[in-house]
Amino acid sequence: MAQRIVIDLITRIEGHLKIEVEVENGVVKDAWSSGTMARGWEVLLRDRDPRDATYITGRVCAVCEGVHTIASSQALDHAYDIEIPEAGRLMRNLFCSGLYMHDHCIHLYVLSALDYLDIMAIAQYKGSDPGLLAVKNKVVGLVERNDTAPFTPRYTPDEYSVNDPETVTTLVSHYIKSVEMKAKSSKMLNIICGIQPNPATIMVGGCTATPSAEQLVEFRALWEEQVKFVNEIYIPDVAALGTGPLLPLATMGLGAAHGNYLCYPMFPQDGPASRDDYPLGGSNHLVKGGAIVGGATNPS
Amino acid sequence: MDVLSLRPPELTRRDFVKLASASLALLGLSQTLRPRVVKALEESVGKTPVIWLEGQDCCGCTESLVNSLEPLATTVLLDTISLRYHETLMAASGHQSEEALTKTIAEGGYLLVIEGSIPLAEDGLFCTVGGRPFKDIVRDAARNAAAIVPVGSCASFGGIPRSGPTDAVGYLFRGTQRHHYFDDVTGNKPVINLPTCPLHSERLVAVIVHYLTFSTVPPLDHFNRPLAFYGYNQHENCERRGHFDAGRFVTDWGDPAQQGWCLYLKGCRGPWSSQDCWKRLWNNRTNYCIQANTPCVACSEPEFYESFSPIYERQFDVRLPGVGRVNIDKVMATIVGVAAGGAAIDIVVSRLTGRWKNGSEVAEVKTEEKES
Repeated sequence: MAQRIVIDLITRIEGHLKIEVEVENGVVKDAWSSGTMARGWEVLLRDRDPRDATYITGRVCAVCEGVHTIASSQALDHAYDIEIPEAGRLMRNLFCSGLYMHDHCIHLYVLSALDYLDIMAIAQYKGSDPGLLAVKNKVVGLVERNDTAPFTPRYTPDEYSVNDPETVTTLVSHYIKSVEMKAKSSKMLNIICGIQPNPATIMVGGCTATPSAEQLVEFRALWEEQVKFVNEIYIPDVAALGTGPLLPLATMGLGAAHGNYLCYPMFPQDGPASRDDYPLGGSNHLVKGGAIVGGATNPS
Repeated sequence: MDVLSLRPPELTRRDFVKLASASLALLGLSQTLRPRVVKALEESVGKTPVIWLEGQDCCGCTESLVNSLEPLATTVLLDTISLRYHETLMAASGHQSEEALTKTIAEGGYLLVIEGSIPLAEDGLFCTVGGRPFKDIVRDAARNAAAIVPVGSCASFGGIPRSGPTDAVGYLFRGTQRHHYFDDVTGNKPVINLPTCPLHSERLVAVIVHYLTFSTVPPLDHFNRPLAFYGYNQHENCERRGHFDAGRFVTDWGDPAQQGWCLYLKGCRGPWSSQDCWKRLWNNRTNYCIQANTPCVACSEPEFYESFSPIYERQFDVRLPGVGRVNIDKVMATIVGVAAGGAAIDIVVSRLTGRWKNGSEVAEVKTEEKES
């Protein structure tokens, strides 16, 4: 007898997602996912001045914000056959790389971590690290006041949940730190964008912002702080989780679906890409584009 | 569980004092009120419950709140409010998140924050949560709320989605028009619109602390926007105003000689925009659109975006007192400072008195407004 499980809505994503799963004898037989919100962005853009597209498409989503603006800028550059100036190329690259850094951190700590952690394990933390004790006191304080929102309610932790008090406390302290780092990243990117999230300055032909030397010095300082966080905290956390408590989940090989992947060329070096580069190549790009379809790389 | 025998968190008073000072500064109130604010924050046994609903949104307003450094977003989210329901931040999913919502609504007395517009077309089916139209969820949540704060342009006036096919509206307004759709559940509850795309985090934090302290809302304008934040005209206060008055306009972003000139010909809607971005700046006092050399799109206004498209085109001709309508290309050559200032005031006053909206002689709207 098949059982149908419906989760509507899936939280900690941008947008509205509903998942339906049909389970028979403990095995998933079929599954459906539906987006339950539509704004009609495509309809909205029809017959408008094409230059509006960079502003409007950027507001499709503000979590991975700005990449839609970059993509529509590239499309318009292509359509108008514009070669963007060097400053425009550098500004767009700086924006994208800054976004990549903070977006990965936010995804791990704020959007994903609560699915894997038994956050109440913090109460069992027995160490003496002052930073971690502060985190413990904060969470325990929430419990004492009987008000643990937004960490509860939650699904009951299972055998795959990380429940080592030291690990959980450390990760929650990194959760709190990552929120601060995200704010600092937005401050940094705002020097280029004028407003964050949802950049206003990136548009067809390049980027309008012309930061002063003073602003660029501030940008650099904030940049180095981000790099430090990524290298010293984020990457070790990913490695530790992936090879440690989450290894059983990882080795189950879940989530690949059809095994088709697509990567667009990013970060053009030494001048913008030539027109022919855009579809998949990216000969002068730091990150090359390509596709894996059914296990084959770049099939024609 | 031995949790209850553990120490409560420390540092709370210092955090409260910092939060109180920051909030008063944000609202432009006297710091002599600080003890009262600190007291209110300390005495709020159990933090103020908050329901944060997301409709046709991009999550930008949430991101913006999380971008707050002073006070830190985590201080607001964990120490000041009790965030009972927030689709992007809460741990629960599915029936658990629905239960959290239902339970908080039943308890009542919460602050309802709405992000994203509310689609009314097709009986609300363009946005559903748990199989229910978003408009019905808003209605339920509004009924028992203590106050309602639509954040961002979408929840305030419909924003960009208003230009789409889903009849997307704000909580009170469809563009400049009151739609009365939620009047029965709103009653006499205060509704505080905090438009701009996205929300400015400082404006929300200040409104929350003001509400916690005085149990009232700050003075509002006729579009339910706090005057402390939306009582200033961008054009009147613009750092590039001197260039406008002198007729120096950016026509080519690639020309270094035009650096810092007025963006009016690039479509700047500063004369129509009422906010304090020019002094508050964005992202912890770093920058804002015009300072970053890109035109103001007047995202604080109910007409945004429908009536301001195309964004990067000059849309209106200004009228100089006693001269009649003048084409801006001629104005560039002939304008003098005082007269130009008068023109801008004329435009703003016309809008506020309703003449502009009705397609007056002062300025005309290129795109037809969807104000039905």
